[in-house]
Amino acid sequence: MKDIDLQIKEAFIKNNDNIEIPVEYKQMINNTLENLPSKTNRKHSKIFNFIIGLIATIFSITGVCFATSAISEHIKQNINQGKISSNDYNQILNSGLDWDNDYENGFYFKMIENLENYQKYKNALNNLPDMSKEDFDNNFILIISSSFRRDPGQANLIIKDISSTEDTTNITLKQLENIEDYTKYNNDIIYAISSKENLKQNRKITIENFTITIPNMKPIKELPIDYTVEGAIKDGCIVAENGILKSNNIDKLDNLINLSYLDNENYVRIYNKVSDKIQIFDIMWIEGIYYLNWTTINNPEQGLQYHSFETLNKDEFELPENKTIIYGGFNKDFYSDDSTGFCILIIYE
Amino acid sequence: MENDISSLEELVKSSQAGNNLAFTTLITNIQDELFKIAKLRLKYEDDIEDAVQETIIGAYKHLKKLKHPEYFKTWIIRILINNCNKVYKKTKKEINYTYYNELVSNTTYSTSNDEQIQNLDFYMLIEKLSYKEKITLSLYYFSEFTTKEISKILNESEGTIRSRISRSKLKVKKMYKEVEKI
Repeated sequence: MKDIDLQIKEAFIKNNDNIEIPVEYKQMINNTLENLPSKTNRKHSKIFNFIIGLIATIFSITGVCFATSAISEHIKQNINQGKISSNDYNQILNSGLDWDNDYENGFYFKMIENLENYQKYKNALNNLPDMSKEDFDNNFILIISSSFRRDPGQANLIIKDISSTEDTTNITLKQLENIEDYTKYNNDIIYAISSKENLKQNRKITIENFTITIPNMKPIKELPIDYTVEGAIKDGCIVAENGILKSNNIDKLDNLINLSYLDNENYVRIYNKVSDKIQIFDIMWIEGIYYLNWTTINNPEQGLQYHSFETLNKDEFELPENKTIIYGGFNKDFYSDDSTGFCILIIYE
Repeated sequence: MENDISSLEELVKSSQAGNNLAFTTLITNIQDELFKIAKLRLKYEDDIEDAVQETIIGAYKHLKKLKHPEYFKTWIIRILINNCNKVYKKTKKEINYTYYNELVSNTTYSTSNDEQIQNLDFYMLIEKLSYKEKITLSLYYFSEFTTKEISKILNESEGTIRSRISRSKLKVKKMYKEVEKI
């Protein structure tokens, strides 16, 4: 075998040489560069931002006074977290503040350990609590928010716990169960103050998602990896195998979509076998949100996946060879008012 | 090489002073590399375009805050990787459609070991690494950033980057040996 470094380098060069840059991409670059804001616009923007900033400062003065006493109470009473809402998400993103990213969950956050740095964030997000130099002697503040404003799974979060191992700060977020209006943009910025003993080189952020419990059914994690079609039918699941419906209870899913479920059965379990892979989907509707827990049970590495949706849809397509029905969960898109779909089940009739 | 760096610095400084032509030149010089880096994370060209466009606009807006013009490339690639991750997270919700198609296609897909060996390209082994491993190796071997620069781009400690590079190399080596045995 050749030198491994050389081999990897050559592989990257060869692969990158083979990548063709699409004409559309180059056109996009040209259009973007041609449409950069002119100096005049930027000036206007600066004046506008200055006025907005001035107004925000005037409004914040009273808030600052209030927050000064509040933060000492937070530390003394060990109630060490809070939430602020910003009405202008873009103002946060364009505030020029430096944020760290948690790519896995889509959070941006900052852990601040001194007053000087904190002041920059407080100037931009003026409803943050007031903190003194002494507060930072033994504490740091975590400020965190979701990049995904329309993901119901990331609305109404609180910081449940901040702890640490030798080299990692563990941050646990939990979704509150008293649901507000999930269809609104999620502009919440949450913060918590914690001991500097928990401030470590690495960070791990976990969300305690809502895990569905279906009455009289085993939790997904306890299902056998060789769970059969027959067993699933017997257990009352909606069962499909390679796109063909095997159980006669698909109306449960239709009822869940129409919210016309009976006997408080606001849930379904779907068993979907495609080739040799077995997917299980638990769906539950609670107060305006469809929660989904799913996994491929014969691929234990995948683990339990969590999603939540504003709507559950059934789309039917008449194709020459068959009729295709797709069940999917939808959320409004992050960037626009379009919806983004997540396919749950495809049936061919 | 030094001339290249100084001209890059001049372009950055000129862009910071408001020269849009200089900014256009900066972006044009690295547009292909931006595409290739984004492609490591994102499958679809539309998504790559979205991420790169956001990156250009973001870089243009915040260029004045870049204190060290010589770090322009490190800086813009970090912005790009952040944007790719945002788009990736957004589109992850659509993945199950793709996943389903993959499952369906699996029923008719079969490859014998012989075919696998014939088609073996060393990059196929690299493809099996996780995204973090791939992007780290790509920045190190292809873009030729130092481990320190990569640590800034990926916002991780230099030690983590170093150990990831050696771990990824070991993985590739191990996979290569396993394939050789077949």
